[in-house]
Formats: sequence, C-alpha cells, structure tokens
Amino acid sequence: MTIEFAQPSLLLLAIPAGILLWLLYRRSLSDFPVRQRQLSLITRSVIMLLLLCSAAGMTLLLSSTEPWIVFVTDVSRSIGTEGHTAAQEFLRTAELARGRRSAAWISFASTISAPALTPPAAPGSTAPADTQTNQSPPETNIERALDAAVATVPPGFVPRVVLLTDGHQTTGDALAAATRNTAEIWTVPLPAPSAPEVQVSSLKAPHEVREGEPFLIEAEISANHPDEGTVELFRGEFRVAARQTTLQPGNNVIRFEQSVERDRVAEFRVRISGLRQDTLLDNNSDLALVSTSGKPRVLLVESEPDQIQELAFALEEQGIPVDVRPIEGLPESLEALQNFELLVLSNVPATKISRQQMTVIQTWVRDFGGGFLMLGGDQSFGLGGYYQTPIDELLPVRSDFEKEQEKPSLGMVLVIDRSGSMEGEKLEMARAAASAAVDLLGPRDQIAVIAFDDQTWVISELQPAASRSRIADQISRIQPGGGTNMFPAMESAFETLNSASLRLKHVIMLTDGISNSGNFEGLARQMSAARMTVSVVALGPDDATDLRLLKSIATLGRGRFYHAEDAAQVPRIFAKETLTASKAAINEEPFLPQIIRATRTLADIDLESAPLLLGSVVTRPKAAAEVILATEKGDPLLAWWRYGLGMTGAFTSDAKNRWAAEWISWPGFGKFWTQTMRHLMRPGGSQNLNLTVQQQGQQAVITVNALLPDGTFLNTADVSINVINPALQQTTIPLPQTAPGQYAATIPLGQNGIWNLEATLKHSELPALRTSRSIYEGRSDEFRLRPTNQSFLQQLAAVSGGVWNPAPAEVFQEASRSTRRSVPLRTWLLSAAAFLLVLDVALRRLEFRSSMTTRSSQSSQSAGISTP
Amino acid sequence: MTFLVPTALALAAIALPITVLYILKLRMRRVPVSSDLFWQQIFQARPPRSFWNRFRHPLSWLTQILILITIVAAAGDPRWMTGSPPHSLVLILDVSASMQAAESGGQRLDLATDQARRIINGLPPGSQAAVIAADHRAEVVCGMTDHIPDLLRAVSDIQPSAAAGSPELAITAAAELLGQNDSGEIILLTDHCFESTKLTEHPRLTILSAATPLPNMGITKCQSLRNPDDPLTAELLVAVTNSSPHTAEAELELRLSGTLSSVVRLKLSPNESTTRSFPRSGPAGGIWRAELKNIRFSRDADPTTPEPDADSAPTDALTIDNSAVAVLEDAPRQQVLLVSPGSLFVQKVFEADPLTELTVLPQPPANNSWPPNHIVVLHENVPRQLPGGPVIVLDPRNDCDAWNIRSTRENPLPAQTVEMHPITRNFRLDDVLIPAVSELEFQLKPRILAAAEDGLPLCCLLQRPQGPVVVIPLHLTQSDLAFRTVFPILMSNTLRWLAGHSDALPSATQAGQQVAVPLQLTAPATPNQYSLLRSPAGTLTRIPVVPDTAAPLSATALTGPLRESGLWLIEPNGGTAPPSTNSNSAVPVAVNVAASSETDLRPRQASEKSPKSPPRAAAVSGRPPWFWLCLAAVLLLTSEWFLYQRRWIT
Repeated sequence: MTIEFAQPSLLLLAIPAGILLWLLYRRSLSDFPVRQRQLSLITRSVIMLLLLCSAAGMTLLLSSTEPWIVFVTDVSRSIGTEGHTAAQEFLRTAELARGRRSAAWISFASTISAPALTPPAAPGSTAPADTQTNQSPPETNIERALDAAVATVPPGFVPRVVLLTDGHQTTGDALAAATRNTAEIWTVPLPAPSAPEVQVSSLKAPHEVREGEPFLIEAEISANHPDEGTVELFRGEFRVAARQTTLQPGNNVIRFEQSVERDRVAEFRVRISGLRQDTLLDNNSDLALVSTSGKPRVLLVESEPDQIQELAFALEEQGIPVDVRPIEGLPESLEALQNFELLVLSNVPATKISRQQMTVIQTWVRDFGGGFLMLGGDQSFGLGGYYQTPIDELLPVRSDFEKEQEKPSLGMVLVIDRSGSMEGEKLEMARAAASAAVDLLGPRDQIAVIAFDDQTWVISELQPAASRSRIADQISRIQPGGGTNMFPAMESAFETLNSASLRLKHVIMLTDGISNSGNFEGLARQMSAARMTVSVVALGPDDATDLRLLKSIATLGRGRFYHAEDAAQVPRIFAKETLTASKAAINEEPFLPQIIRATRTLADIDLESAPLLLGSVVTRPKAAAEVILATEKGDPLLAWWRYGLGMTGAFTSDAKNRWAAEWISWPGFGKFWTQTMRHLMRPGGSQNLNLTVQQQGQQAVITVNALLPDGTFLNTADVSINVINPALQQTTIPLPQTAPGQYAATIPLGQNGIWNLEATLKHSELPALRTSRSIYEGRSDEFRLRPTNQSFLQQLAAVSGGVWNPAPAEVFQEASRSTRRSVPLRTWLLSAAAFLLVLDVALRRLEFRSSMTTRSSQSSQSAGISTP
Repeated sequence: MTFLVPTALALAAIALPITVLYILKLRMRRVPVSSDLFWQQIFQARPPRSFWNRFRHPLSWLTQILILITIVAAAGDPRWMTGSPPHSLVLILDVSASMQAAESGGQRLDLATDQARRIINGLPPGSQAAVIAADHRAEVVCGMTDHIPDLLRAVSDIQPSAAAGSPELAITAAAELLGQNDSGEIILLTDHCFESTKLTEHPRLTILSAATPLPNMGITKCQSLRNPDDPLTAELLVAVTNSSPHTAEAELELRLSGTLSSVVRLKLSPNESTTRSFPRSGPAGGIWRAELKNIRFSRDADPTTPEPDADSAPTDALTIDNSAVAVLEDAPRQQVLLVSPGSLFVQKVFEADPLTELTVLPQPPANNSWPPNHIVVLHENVPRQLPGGPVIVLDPRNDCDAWNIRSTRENPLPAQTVEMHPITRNFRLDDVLIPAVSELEFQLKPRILAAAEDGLPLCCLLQRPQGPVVVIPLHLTQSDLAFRTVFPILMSNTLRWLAGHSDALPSATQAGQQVAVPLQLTAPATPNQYSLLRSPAGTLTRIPVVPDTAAPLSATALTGPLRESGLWLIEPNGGTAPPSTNSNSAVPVAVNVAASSETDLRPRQASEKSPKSPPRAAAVSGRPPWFWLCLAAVLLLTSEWFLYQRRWIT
C-alpha cells in the first residue's frame, strides 16, 4: 500500500502555513490555558494539513488481486451443437458461483460482439450480428477477441479472460495476443462436432516442377470414424488415379506420384466417395495447381484440324510444341490458357466462341502477355462475325471499312420476329444486330427492315444504307407484339427485293419459332430462283420441327442457317452475314506478298522468293499496327501490334490448302511461321525471377526474388504484380523492395477459386522480366473437420499464466498476480477536516480547566469577575 | 451546478454543533478588577437574556460556517453544468516514431500528452474516458473509467514507440470500447504522419494535431541477405530518404560487428531517396550498423514552402531513424560424407569448400547406418540401395536400386550444357578430356543437365521421393575433370543446391512487430519455460517459450511488440542470473524504424487544434472547482486563526 499525490508540490504550502500558525500561536492574545491553546494549534494544523493533502490529490494505492473476468465464447461456424451446449453449460455453472465478482461476456467469430455486463441467455444470442446471419467471412479470429476482451477491463482489476473455443483459429495470431497482453487466459476446450464426417482437409502439391519431373501429391483426409472409400485423383477433367482406402479416425495421408509433361499449369483435384457415413458432402474434394516451366507452347485452334497439320508439323520440326484442337477445345478458363505462350485461331468463327471465352482471351493477352494470332479464312475476321467483339479489339486490323466502289451493290432485308416471346433480351439483341448490320453496309447498299408478329410491319423501307441514323432510329422503335406469323413477312421481303434493281439480294430472317404455317419452302425456292439468298437465324426454338423447317428455308434459299441458343450471339451472326453477303471481305485472286516494313523477325527469310497466295480476307490496319506484309492491292497480309502486355498478329491469308497451297511446299514455310510465332509469343519466365506465394488465411504474401544474370541481387527494380481474381477482375499491386533482391507485398484473397498472378520486373539494365503463378483459394479452414486443438489451448494458457480447462467455479478465484488500485482520499480527508473543525471550535468556546493551567494566576480567582 | 459526490453535502450538518457552541454560555472569561462594587450595580441593572439572545460572536460563527461550507463544497466535488450530458471519450495518443520529433522545445508526444491531460481534466461531470496508445497496434493503457487520476496516470505512463503509426486499429478498438454509446467521442492526438485517407469519414472521430512540417533525413530500409545460390556472398541494402524541402547532406557510416566497413557521402535533393547496396563475401556473419552522421540541410528551399523559423538553419528533427541495424547470419555449413576408395583429388575438392564439414569413409557404413543431415557423396562404390536424403554419385561402377549400368561409352563428344540450372551455372565441358562414360539405365526418368552430342547423359538429376540424386557417370580416373576448375564449381553448385536454403528470419524487423524466434536449447524445454529478452536500453523481460513437440531441443520464443529500435537479444535458456551481453548463445533480433511514413515529418492532412464538441466543463487553468475550494478553505483557516489569536474576533 502506498500513498500517491497528484500534485505533491502543493504540500510545500504546509511549511509556510505551519510557520504562520505557530507564530500567531506564540503571539496569541488568547487567555486559554496553555495546553488548550496547544491543542487548538494542533487541531488547526491538522485541519490545514488535511486540506492541503486533499488539494494535492492524495490517493491510496492498494495492491489488489481481485480479478475482472471476461468470458469470451467462440460462436464461429466450426463450433457445432455440442460445442454451443458445452459453452452454455459452462457459463451457466460459472454464473452460479460468481457471487459479487465483476464479469463481462463477449462472443466472437470473425468479428466481436459488444461486451455485455450481464450473462447472455445463450452464447450465440450475443453473437455479432453478421455472424448470426452468416454474412461474415467464415473465420475465427481469437487474437482480436482477446485484444477486445482485455480492453474492456477497467483499471484496478486483474484482467482474466476465460476463452471458450475449439482452438482452431483461421486468422490472426492468438499466441501473439497472449504474449503482448497482461491478462491471464484461461482456456476451456469446446468439443468438436460428433456427427460422422469425412472430408478432404487439404491437397498438397509442389507449386512448380519441371516438365517430366515426378512429384508427389498428398491428399490429407480427415475422418472422425473408421470408414472406407475411394480416393480419386483428377487432372483437369480426366481421372488419372484411384485408390480404395481404409480410413482411420484422424488424419489420413494418401500420396500419388505424378508428372506433368506438357501443361504449363496442371489442375489436380482429389475426391473421396463411396463412404459408409458422411454428413457433409461438399467438403469431399479439393484442388491444387502445379506450374511447370519448359519449352514455350502454341495452341492452334482450327475449325477443321485435319487441314492445318502441315503448319503444326512445320512448327514441331522447328522445336515449337503445338497443340492442335478443334473449336470445342478452346480453353474456357484463364489458367487453362496459361499453359500456352501463343494462341492461334485459324478460320474459327466468332459464333462458335462464347463471350466468356473471348473475354478470357482478351484478359490473357492484355494482362498476362499472351500472344495471339488470327489466320485468314472464310470464317475469320469480319467474316467470322468478330465485329465489335473482344477479339476484334485486340486484332491489329479491322473489318469495318468503306466498301470499294467496284464491289456490286447489295440489297438486304432484315426480317425480325417481334412476337411476344421475343420480349426482353432477345428483341434487344435483335435491334443491336440490325443496327450493326446497317453500320457494315456500304453507302450504295440498300437495306430494309421488316418486323412481324401476327401482322407484318415495315419498319424501314428499302433505302440506301447512307441514311444510317434514320434507319437506326426506326430500328430502335421495334417493340414486342403479339403472335408469330412469319410467312407474310417473308413474302413482303421477297416483293421488296424483287422490285429493286440490285446485283446482290439477301434476306436475313430472325425468329424464335413458327406458329402459323405457310408455304415457306416454296417461297424459298422462288426467292432462290430470283437470285436472292436467304439466311435464317433461329433463336433457341425448342421445336425440332420448327428447326428443320427453318434450316430447310436456309438451304433452299442458298443461305446459311444459324441456331443461336444465346441471344448475345445474334449481333455477331448478323455482322458475319452482312459481310459474307456483301462479298466485300474476301479477295480470292492470286497475289504475291509485298514487303511493307523490314523486320528483324523475318530478316533471314527470302520473302522475295515466296510463292503466290490464292486469297485473303480484306481488312484495314488499325492506327498503331505494324503492317509487315501486304497484298498487291495494299491490304494487310501480315500485321501485328502490342496489346497490353501481349503481342497480337493477323495473317489475312491462310496456312492451309485453300489459299496457301503453294506456300506449304515453299522451303521457307516453316521458318516463316516459326519466327513469326516466336515474335508474337509470350516471353518465357525468367530463370532469375522467382515468385513465391505464401497463403495465410484470407491473405497471400507475395515475394519476388530477383537476381542479375551474374547471380548478384537485382536491386532498385520496379516490380509489380498483376492479380486476377476468380471473377477475372484485375488489380495491379506494386511490390516494394524489402531486402536485397527481394520485393514483397500482401494481397487480400476474398473469393474462392483460382487466382492468377503475373509478376513484372522492370529495370534499366534488363529487358522486362515476367513470371506467373496460379494459386487456389479454397474452402475456408473453418469448415475443416478437426478435433479440438487442445495443445494450442494449453500453450495459450501457459504463455499467459492462465489455466487450461478449469472448473467453472475456479475462474473466480483470486488472482495470483496483483494490480494497483487507486483509492482517492479526497472525500475522506475533507470529511475528517470537517469533523475536526467542530473540535477546533469547541476548543475556542469551551474551557477545559481540570487539567490545564492558565496564564492568570490563582490570585484572579478571588477578585475575578466572569464575563460571558 | 452539480455535485459529483452529493452524499458529502451531509457534512453540512456539522454546522449545527458549531452553532450550538456559539450559543451555549459555557465559558466565563476571567478579568481581574480592583473592585466588584461597580460590577454588581451593572449586573443588577442588566435585564435577563432569552435563549436566542445568548448567541454571541456572530462574526466568528460566520467565519467558521464559511470554512465549513468551503470544506463541504469541496467534498461534494462541484462542477458547473453548461448543458452537456455525461460524456464517454476515448483518447488515442499516437506514440509512433514520428511523435518523437523535436518540436516547440520538447517532443511532439509531450505536446500530445499535455493536451490529453487538459482534455481529461476538463471532462464534463459523470464522464468516462479511456486511453489508447497507438502505433502499429493499439494498446488500451487505461480502460473506461471516471477516475481522473487513473487516466492522468495512464497518460503520464505512456512511452514512445519506434513503430510506424497506423491508427485504424486504435480507432476500431476505440469504437468497440464506446459500444452503442451515441454520445461517445474519439479524439486522436497525432501528428498526422501516416498514410490514411479514410479517417475523416469516421463520424465520431476528431483528429487533433499541433505538429508543423519539420525537416528530416532518415534510414528507411536496412536489410541484409545471403545469396541463396552462393551463401558465401551477402549484401546489405540501405535506403535513405530526405523528407524535407531542402537539399540534405550526410555521411552514411557502416560497421559490421563494430568494425568500420564503409563511409558514403550522401547528398539528396528535396524529397529524394537513395538505395545503396553493400556486398560482402565470407562465411562469417555479424551485426550491421548503419548510421547517418553530420546531417546538414541547406537553405535552398522552395520559397513557397513555409519555414517555421527563417533565421535558424533547419536541423534534423528525428534522431531515432538515423541509425539502423541488421543481422547477417553466418553462412550455413553443410555436413558432407564422402565415401571414396581413396581419390585425394576428389577429397581435396570438398575439403576446399569453406562451407563443408567433410567426413571421409573408404566404404559405405555397415547396416545402412548413414548419418542424418548429411549430403552423401559416393565415389565409384555405390551401395545396392542408395541412402535417403540428397546424394551425389561420381563415376558409379555398380548397379543400384536407381539404375543399371548398361555399357561404357568411349570418347563421347560433350555438347553445350543442355539446361540452365543452378547446378550447371558456369559449368562447361568443352575442353575437358572425357575418355569414358558409363551408360546408365535409370529406373526413374532423369533430368539431363549436361549431355554428349548424342544425348548420353554426362550430368543428370534424379528426383526420388527419398531425396534428389545428382549423377555424374564420367570415369573420373581416366578423365581430367577432377583437375579442372569446372569440377569444384560443379561440386560447389551441387552442394548449395542440394542443401537448399531455409526460410530464415528477416535480418531486421520493423519496430512494433512481434517476432517468433526459433531457438536451440541446451536442454529440453519445460512447460512453463521462459527466455530472457534484453532491450537495446538494457531492460530485461521474461518471454514465453513454446516447445517444439517434434524436436525436444527446439523451441520458439515469442516476443511482445518490440517498440524500441536497436539490437534486442534473446537468451534461449533463460535462467535466474542476468545473462552476459557477450553470451554466444544470445539470439540477436534487429529492430529498426525503417518506415518512410515516419521519416516524413510533414503532416499529411490538416487537423484541428482543439476539440470542437461537446463544450467542456469549465475548469480554471485546468483545475477542477474542488481544488480552489480546498485552497480557499486553507486561506480562510489561516486568516481566521490570525484574527482570533489577535482577538479581532473572539
């Protein structure tokens, strides 16, 4: 126990005050007995001292071992019914033993509830609101809960935290919190869920291996009961291994030996099935990604793979591995494209590629430096319907240009279904498609737009496409109507074109079904005889009969039939049709390639001796594109440019027998394509750049180690990382230098799925270095089945001086450590001064003669007069 | 006006006995007279008095009552109510490194604590407050209380930190302390030298700062690292920033384990940073110390930049970022077991490697009792079953579980190194005489690192589940490879690669972080074992040690936030006696400010200078009314004593 003064300097006033009191006492004119006057002096002095001590802020500092208990209850998703019941029982029993002890109650998961000073009815009832509604990320943050619990303890008490949890923290570091706080942490283990459960806890594989290098994949399977099941390993969509396994309670590790020969990023998935008892099924699989480094690879997608074998063989001979696939083999995901350095589309129409695939390709080129090359054909460039698509954006040439004067004029009628079933996105896409078709026509071309439901509506009379804005305005007014009667509309289209004097006549019909009958086939033949062509776009009709009829119309009309299941394809189809019909986009006359721009890429190829090409797709270069080769008419033949981080190229002729028959036998064929493709390819990952990723809960620590070619550290470089989340949203994060040759940053991972990372390093002395990595953010550890982490809870109690698994009544016992509690004495001192004041006055007003002598001698007793 | 201790007003009842004492005729005064004849006549003429007429000496009584009133009022703790309700307040004091900058004759932290005291003393009656110290983390130094002395004591006990400031955590903690209290307020006392733009969006937050822009030059980075591919070389990276509108000059002095290593003169333009790297070779490690000396700022500032004092030369305002330390670990030594029939040249190659501890055996050990944690080098004689772990095989002459010897190829033509790999760095076989090479049929597909013209492997790598094997099937006795410099290069590369490099602790940590330091103990750890942590200032504290259940002599020491910059030491084995600073077992932990946000002492945003609302209770010169009442009572007592003793009042 000690005494403390807030302003001890005030006590110095006691000296002059005491001196003054004493001096006045010495010169006192009072006739009280000496002893009484002395007592009065003492009393007055004590009162003065009490007042000065009060003014100086006298405080008594006591040592207190009284604890303030904070009950911290885990209500995260890893706590099952048994855990909640055990927690509730503990709290209820503890409350019975609490007595007059002070306590508070907190619940936590990823967030913390406000402290309650009264015991909750049930632990979960005071859980943070977002935990109760399952809107928060599934996490257990014991560290934050401990910090918040200690903060609620007022001064003068020994803080004691009673932590009720299963010990599985998914974020934060509880041991760090225990170390830096002064509170005792008493840990109460909550039981794990007891329902029979088997789950794949993790799938571990090396982040990066060499091509062909064998490695082990470890699947950790947790079970809380004995069971048997089949563990399957999939690589991509293919099952590569399966094993019947007997599972023991606890962790079971199953290993598979694998190697990756060709893929740049291999996706492995493990799945367990065939179990006797299992409560949750969606935790029975997990995924891991393995990157490989090796030779750069090319993906060649061709609508007719057999036709492109010469090119593939030529590339393989030159040491470039090529993967030839049909259109269906075009990757759907970014990580699948990461296996390659160059994507070549050869005569692949846009109508066969989904919007998602185009977006992935664009992202891969722009943000990951992938290379892209489009080869010509009757389904490429504008003819393929790429107008206003993501692919069109990354090409160095464009297809929408003024038609040449010598091309024959085209008359086109668009017949659009506006029945009630077309309401919504379908009609919106139809209007967009019609507008796009108008944009693609030349000024001498003519266009009419007819809409139909159960009647026929002439939206726009046949007129020159030069009136684009007026026609577009008319198209925009098409609204959905009633039934479907297509025949009169088709007749109207026939009559419109029949009376027009045009070289080319084409009808495009768009419908989602035929409800009224008519002699469609007869009319189609009639139109064909009148040198009209009819194409039909069927927008998702389910009726097979309708589809057959529509297809028949197109066949008899010498046009093309399209079955679009997605309304978003309609604009691409219309664009393709328009260009195809106008015959503006293909030039099928033999020509010799003309060298427009010398380039080191093709420096040692004798292009002068290159043979004839027999056709090309007519395009125009974009402003920043480099045109390397051209046709004799000046149209681009080979052009390329940089798009984002990648290079894209366009070769408007083909590499097949149709237009390049003579080129295939040319000695320079292989070298030309090899060097062109190497120029467009993404540069391989640098040996001197090492990217490591350490996943910690919902974060990933990215570290890039960089060395110069001579092996010394690469410092003061500009390093950044392109992060593409599973939703293909991109962020660029700078990596500051943290050590010699080392650059690091932490990124948040908020979504489950595959994250793609591309690190770029720029330094004045080096070309830009890049390396990439894909990581998988899976299911939170919150959903992992694990027994109570008793060892961790014991550690937590040990480092903080607490107790592990106490009885409920024990938590209120006196603390082993003490704390300082300050008791301000002002009120007591002033009260004492007030009471002493009475004595002080009494000593003035009363004469205590029995034991005291007076100044007056006893002679005054005889003659003295008493006056009041 | 209200009283915080209204029960003390009951003391006013003491006025009653005091008054009674002034009414009662209890004392007769004796006056000596010559005769009582005259007095008897007066008494006979004096009329009798009523009880209430006996009240005497009203002035004295009044004085006593006045004294009593001041005492009772002081005990009641009066406060003037100006309409503000009881208030909840959380005071956050920024204790980050930049708050130690010299300003207005003291430090910024001193100004902040003074302001904090004024705010606490001026709290409205019935208010509660808490105090949080904020740097990298938030520490609640005093929980919610209405006891002013505790709050004042907590403010006084706050220590500065060398950590970077990040008040978001503190604001979150403050909001949790306030809970649902609508009248709660958070006041952040800071110099606003942190990068955070969203603080102004907090509805209950007031940011107060009296800091002015100050010039400073400091070390913002200091890290050391050994080259993972060549552990004999290391590098120290130091970054220095001039956070001022002036040109700054200084000398950067580097010492390694006390020995002067380098002195670099720096001249930085306003707001310029420079990064320097200092290479070092050798296996020995040590403690790097970097220090900026003789910092001078020139007066060529931008005229538009306000200068606090145009007459005096600007000086470096913050000194704790003028020095930094980093730990350079000793190069890891690798234990190598060479099993060779007796090739002195091969043995010498390994002996010459400074990071190798070599053991030589003529034959493989019996019963496959290979020593753990060794890289095994097998020369010619290969056991039937290769040992686990990393293995190097030179000139194998017999079959084993990994290969069969198919034949011997004579005079193969070596090609260029097939593949870039750390093992084959700077490795060429162009001029090496290779009369014969064993052609091996591998059980596992090898990775060819060097091959002959026809693809015959000359150096290859097998990745076994038990550990990698590097095979060089050249017949060494017939070749001159062992005499060429490429052979030691190849062996050195191979040993480094096989040894790998573990994830070492960073050579230096930013102040404020908590560190988990792996320890090697001399005895198995006990459950409640502690280590001793010595701060740069010499303070010793006990820190818990968490044993590694898999390795009895391994453990992890957990430190609290290391708020002081400098070199900390951890004594792994604890003990009751203070450890010697020269103890070889002490594990050093380097802690630096190393934060450009703290080196830049220019406030990022304008802040308020005083709290805006609610209105504070009136307090004269920062003292509450009871204080003045106590002093008034003292004055009254003294005055009354004088008047009574001189009989001006009776």
